[in-house]
Amino acid sequence: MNQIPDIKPHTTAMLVGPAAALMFGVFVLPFLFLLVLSFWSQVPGSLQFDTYLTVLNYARIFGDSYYLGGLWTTLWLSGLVTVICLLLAMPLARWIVLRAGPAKGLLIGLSILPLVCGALLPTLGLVNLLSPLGFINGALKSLGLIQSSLPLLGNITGVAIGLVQAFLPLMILPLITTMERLPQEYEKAAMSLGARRLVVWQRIILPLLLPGIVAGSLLVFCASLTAFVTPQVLGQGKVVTFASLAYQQAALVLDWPFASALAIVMLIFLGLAGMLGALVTRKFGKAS
Amino acid sequence: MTGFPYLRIRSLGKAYRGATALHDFDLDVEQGAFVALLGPSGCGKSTLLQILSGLLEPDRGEIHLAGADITRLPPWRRNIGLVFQNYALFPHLSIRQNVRFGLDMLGIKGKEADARVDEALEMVGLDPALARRPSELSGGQQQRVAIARAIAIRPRLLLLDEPLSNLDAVLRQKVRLELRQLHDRTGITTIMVTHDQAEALATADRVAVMEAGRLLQYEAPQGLYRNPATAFIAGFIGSPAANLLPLVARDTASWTLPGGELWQPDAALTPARNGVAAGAACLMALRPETLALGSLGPGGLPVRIGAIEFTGGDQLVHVEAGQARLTLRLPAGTRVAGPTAWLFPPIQSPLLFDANTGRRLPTPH
Repeated sequence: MNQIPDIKPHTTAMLVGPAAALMFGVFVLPFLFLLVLSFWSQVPGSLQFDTYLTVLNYARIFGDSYYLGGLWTTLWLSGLVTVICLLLAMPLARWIVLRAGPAKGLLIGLSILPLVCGALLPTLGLVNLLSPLGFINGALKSLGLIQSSLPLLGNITGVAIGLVQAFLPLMILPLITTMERLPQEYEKAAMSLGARRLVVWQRIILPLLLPGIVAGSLLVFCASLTAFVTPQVLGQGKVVTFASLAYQQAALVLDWPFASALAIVMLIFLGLAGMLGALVTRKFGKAS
Repeated sequence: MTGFPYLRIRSLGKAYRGATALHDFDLDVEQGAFVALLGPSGCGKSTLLQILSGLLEPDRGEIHLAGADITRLPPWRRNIGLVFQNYALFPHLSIRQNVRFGLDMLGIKGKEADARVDEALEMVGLDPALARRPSELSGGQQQRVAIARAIAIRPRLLLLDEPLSNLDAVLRQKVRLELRQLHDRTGITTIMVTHDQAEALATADRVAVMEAGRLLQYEAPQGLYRNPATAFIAGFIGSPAANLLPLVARDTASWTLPGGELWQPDAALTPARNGVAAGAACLMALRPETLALGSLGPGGLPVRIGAIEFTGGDQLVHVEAGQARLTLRLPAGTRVAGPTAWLFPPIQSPLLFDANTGRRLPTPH
């Protein structure tokens, strides 16, 4: 047993205090304000708030097909991006863990590069690749594979490509971490007991990788749900996502209460995604 | 040769990135035998185990089990039980589910599966009602579960990879006896990989000693102890292992010790009697438990007494003969008077090896 040294209460306060104060001041307080704000309303024709509490903002989101459509698009786009990331990251992570050898560190570094580059520059680079006169369409045309340009920009396809590019590392990292803790002997033992490769995956590898799969999926899903720069640049204003709606209301229309309500709805879906992840882990993680 | 051995390995070869792990390896195992693969780490014994279980494909050679060629059979179709050094129990399954896994794969369900799980757990001395996860068990118990899981499928062959090396010294003695008793009860042909000669000698019917991917000697423990084929084996077998005294034949009747001192041994141990030409170098294996100390007499080897270790019933006496260090095991009561003494090797069946090849020199008649 590790002996934990005695820490006096005032030492604890000094250790935790600065960060806690910062978090309270710049996160908790504004968040509470955001929550209250979402139940206020804008006085028509002015920037004044009507502080009478109302659920009108929420009624507007769930009653208007424009906003509901944006919500629905964002949800299934995030789901699609999560599934694509999972399918791409699984073999890549397994290859890095099992076969990369000395190049492992370098490969992990390369695969997390999109995370440290920020969203804007890689996305602008993608514009060059995906646009009607861009590299991909040009190459396919000169190879004679297509006659006219494929629409890769200003639609869901482009946004999905951009989001996968940006958030693939969020899937790779948890998968690598989980796979590294999985001794090879589990698979070998299962095979010696009569399990074919597919059965080994079903009954041994996937259940044991579940925490990593859930963590990676949650990260990618939540990041996609709240992504703003990538859908904005690659969607070219033609793809309506929830984050861009909130941006419009907050920065262009200046209806802060309604923008707050949009933000709260987004947060509720983030919370639901987290609960679903916890539920999946609890249900399938322990018992087989 | 009449009859086919149960397990027959012929000219098996395997190389990793140019380095040879197994070299032209032959081995026959009779049905129901307990064989130990003994050798230092990197001798190819674990490679052989992986090839036998089908997890690794050999470059060359053939493996026949119960009359059928299994060389290219995938692991899941071999029905060979495998127990890993780290046990490799599935952490997300309960103990019973672990043991049941192989039965599921065989399509055995319901009451019959339950009965076979009970039987396997009882066989290794565990309570079948133990409703816990592998992580809640001690190392020794985890190993029992791993063995139960492997024998539940009634394997044609049971492979044990260093089964005792993760256990503490006290438990190791106990478990090695249990492994032997389990084998005798089940009659499953068993191959155990180990680097511990005491383990191999205590449990196995036959021991296959390996070095650098080759089979050096394959014999019953008693034979291995009495007639080691090479100096490497002699210097490896026994607790403590035999001393290897480097000697150069000075003339027909005497040897030169390391450091230049002269030894005129008993007539049975002279170079001439053992067919060693003058000037030839060889190694004489001297077992610690067969050596005696005495005062000046014919045939004695002059030694200086060094450290003495008390081990209970015995004492280990370390001596120097010329520049060579030797160890003797004497009864604890024997008085050892220093600083010098005379050492008397046994004169029956001396063990001499060529210093260059390590091969045993032919015994004189």
